[in-house]
Amino acid sequence: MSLQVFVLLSVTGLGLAGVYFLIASGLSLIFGLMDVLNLAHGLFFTVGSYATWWVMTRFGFIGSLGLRFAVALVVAAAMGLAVGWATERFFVRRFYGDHVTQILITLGLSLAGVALIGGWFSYDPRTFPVPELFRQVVVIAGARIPVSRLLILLVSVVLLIALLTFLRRTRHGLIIRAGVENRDMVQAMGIDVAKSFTLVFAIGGLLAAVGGVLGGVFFAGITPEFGLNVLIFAFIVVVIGGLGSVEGTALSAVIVGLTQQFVNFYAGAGVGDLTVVVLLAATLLLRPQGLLGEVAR
Amino acid sequence: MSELSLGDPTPEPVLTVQGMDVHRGEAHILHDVGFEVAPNRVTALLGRNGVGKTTTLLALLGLLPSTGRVDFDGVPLGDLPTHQRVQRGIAYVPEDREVFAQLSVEENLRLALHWPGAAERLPMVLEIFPELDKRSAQKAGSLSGGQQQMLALGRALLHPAKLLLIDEPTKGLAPIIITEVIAALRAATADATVLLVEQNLRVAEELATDAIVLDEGQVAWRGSMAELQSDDDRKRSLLGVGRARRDAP
Repeated sequence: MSLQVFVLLSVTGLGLAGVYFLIASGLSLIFGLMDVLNLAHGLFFTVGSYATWWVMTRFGFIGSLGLRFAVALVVAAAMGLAVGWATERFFVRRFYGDHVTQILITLGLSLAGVALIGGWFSYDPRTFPVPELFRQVVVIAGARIPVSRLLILLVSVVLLIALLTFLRRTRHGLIIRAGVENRDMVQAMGIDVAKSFTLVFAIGGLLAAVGGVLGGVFFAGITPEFGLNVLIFAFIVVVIGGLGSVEGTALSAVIVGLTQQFVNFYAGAGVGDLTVVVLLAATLLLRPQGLLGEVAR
Repeated sequence: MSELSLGDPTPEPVLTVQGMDVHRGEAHILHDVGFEVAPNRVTALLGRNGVGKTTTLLALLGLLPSTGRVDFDGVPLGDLPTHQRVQRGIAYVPEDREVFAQLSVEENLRLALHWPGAAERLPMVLEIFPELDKRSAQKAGSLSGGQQQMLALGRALLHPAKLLLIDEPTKGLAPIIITEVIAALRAATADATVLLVEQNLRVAEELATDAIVLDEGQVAWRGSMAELQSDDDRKRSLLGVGRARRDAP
């Protein structure tokens, strides 16, 4: 393997890992804290990508593509936050503890979201213009790396640090970390953990929507099923990393992203996807709690 | 069922439970349970394994659904969720400690600092449990059983509670640590109102003034701890402990 190929595959794999991390981190926290398998999480991702497409194609009055992209990122994040909040507030909240209904409700939301977005924007793949900077390349160790890959990586790392800082340095973060371990005990300390549920859904929606923005750049195109397709890998990332562990999710996203890129390149397209499923199976057999997850209580 | 005959006259119990029934799945665990907890006394909830002692505490906290009536501080708790019951002044030290293993000792305590006056009580807690101060940066999951018990107690003591529910504080601890925990409990619960679940009768005898004995999910006996202590037949029949009869084979 030449160094150029290694560097290119590594950076591309890490960029993909960034996209996976953004959708999987919220999913992991939601499951860890609330025991909710949120099948609507892919919808948050798709909302982010279509909000970006909408701003980038309809906000022509903002001449600078760079500024327009920044606006798109903020709008997508806000929409993800709002959709995440609304999902918990109006659909999930009344069914805590009822896993079958939760799965049916969130799956229904997901499918309805795809239909709504497809009906509104059409099912045809869409691309959105990106700032000129994204198309430029930088040469690292002889490899021509698209700047967009590096930016995706940078945004993902910044959001990882922001999320960890929130979880470690704020009282809400402390409650969420404690709740992921033992929700009943948090309540038995007089803390209304349900408020954290809404917050975690909103944060998860925001992160997934930003993931949708970056995913649209990474894959250079979006469809209404975009989030559903990525959600499958996000679940794999969550299980391998350990439910409720943000650090585990980040580590797992890197493993899955790099594995997919390298194996797809050397063994043929699609083999990388199969390999991560094998990784998932191996994790479940050898370390069911995931890389950095806690053994179930 | 014997009539309540606690030592001192206590006209206003902190906790009154009437007709409490609890089911867990198909199992009917508590049957028409009723008792009172007097203020500023330690009441031991005793009984053999599996008679429903922990279930009683979980139901009082609202962590298990129950029927019947629970009055706390003169007000019915009704269907209040757990966090609101606790906010009314019930602190809880669970069986098996249940400290947050991935959080540091300091973070475990910080979770309880939302109570009014908790910051002022923290030095008192660290004085009773100096080990917590020494190990503040250590992950709670890496503490020994005794240290975790002290953390669970310290966390509860930051709460300006009118009633402290303590579930098996010496369970699984080495005898030397049990002595340490008893001393800490005595210091921590002086003048407090406590409902103490304890499998170890010696510990209960050291700490409690009143006793309630559960048998097969029902209150089988209530009275003073001294009365129970002096009645070997009762201890043997209800708790399976006590000196053997002379005429026993």
